[in-house]
Amino acid sequence: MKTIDSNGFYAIPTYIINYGSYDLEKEKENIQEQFGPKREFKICRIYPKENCLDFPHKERWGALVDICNRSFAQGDDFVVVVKSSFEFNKSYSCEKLIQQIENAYKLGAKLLVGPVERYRDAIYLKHGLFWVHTIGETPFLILFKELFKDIIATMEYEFVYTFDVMLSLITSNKFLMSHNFGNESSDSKKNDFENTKNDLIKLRKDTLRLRKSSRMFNFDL
Amino acid sequence: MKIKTFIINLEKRTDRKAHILNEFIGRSDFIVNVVPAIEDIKRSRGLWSTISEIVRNRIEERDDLILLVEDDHQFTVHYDPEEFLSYIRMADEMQVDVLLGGISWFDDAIQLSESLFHLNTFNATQFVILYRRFFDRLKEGLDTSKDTADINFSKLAKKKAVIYPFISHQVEFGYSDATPTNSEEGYVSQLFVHSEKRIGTIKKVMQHFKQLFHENKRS
Repeated sequence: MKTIDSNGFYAIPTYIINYGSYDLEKEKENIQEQFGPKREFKICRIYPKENCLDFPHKERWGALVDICNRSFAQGDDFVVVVKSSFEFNKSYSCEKLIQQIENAYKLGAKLLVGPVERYRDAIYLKHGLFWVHTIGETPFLILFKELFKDIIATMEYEFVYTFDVMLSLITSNKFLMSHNFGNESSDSKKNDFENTKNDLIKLRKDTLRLRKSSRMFNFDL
Repeated sequence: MKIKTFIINLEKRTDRKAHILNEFIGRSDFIVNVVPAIEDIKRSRGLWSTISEIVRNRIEERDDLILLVEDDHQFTVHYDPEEFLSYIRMADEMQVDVLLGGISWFDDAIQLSESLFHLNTFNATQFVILYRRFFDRLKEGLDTSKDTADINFSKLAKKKAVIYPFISHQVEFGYSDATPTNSEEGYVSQLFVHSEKRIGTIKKVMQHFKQLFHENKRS
């Protein structure tokens, strides 16, 4: 995967989406604060259409299709799509994020997500990565090049699902990072993500504990 | 091994009694006892009261395990007596508290062996094996547990496992004595099918990664 720019820095193509309900001034400040000091992200902002108070699921998906079209044309290996209200926390590390992206890619990931509001059927694999069947809302997602064409192709069909359902349906190769490096700034969302994080920690502990006692897991998972 | 089996049946539900006794005809591995269910305005509470009565008064010192069966249980095509006994032994070796024949819902499942999956919270108690290691904790929690039977078991038992493919489903009678919302035709069956499918997917994914990691190791 190519992630290094001509200056030798990691520069991940990063699309920051304002879903419409986030104040534009606050957004500007937040993006500057979050991404300004981080040279590993090459950012591009995406806005909802004019007079659109909320960014409906169809429009959001449309934005994702545009991103994939652009990324496909540019030959990107992967892109980050992040909600403009996202805030990194102290445990964020560029090296760790890149490592998780590479590890996920080696496991066949087409989609990698950060914190999620909810999930269904997660399987802990290794390096802090879960395979996951269904995901809820997430403010931070990584699309790999293998998914660009699949997402672009969805424009041929009528949009009948929500954004989250579309993301869950688009590929089976979805992974979840257990490394919690950030969150949305909204308090209600923070609680949702926090609950899911706790569930995932419990699931991971259970898995590791059971692996020790089970013949099934006598291999290097 | 002979499995001490307690079948829970409301005495007025003769159709269900006929059904469940028919399920166990010719199955000599089970020592069947029909227990009259305690009626309660709140049906789920009646079920838990009946389970409490069984756990308090009918478990004997020599019992290593007991099987609780609701009268809507039905063996699936996947039930095989020898395999079933091997699952019981395997779950015992893995220190399982509660082994289930089939479930209608679960939150998280982790594969324990080829045919056993560890669960966190589950729904459906039509076929439940309780191991001796769990008896004391269960007895202590009988009075303080106020949820439905499946949620109570989920909370009280540390290790819960389900057999996959399911060996037990709930047959539909057009009404439910424990959960009124389950009365709609086809609804419960569909829940079991969905849960089984989810576990099947988890199993497939595990197999895929197991193979992938082996290949990576070799190369």
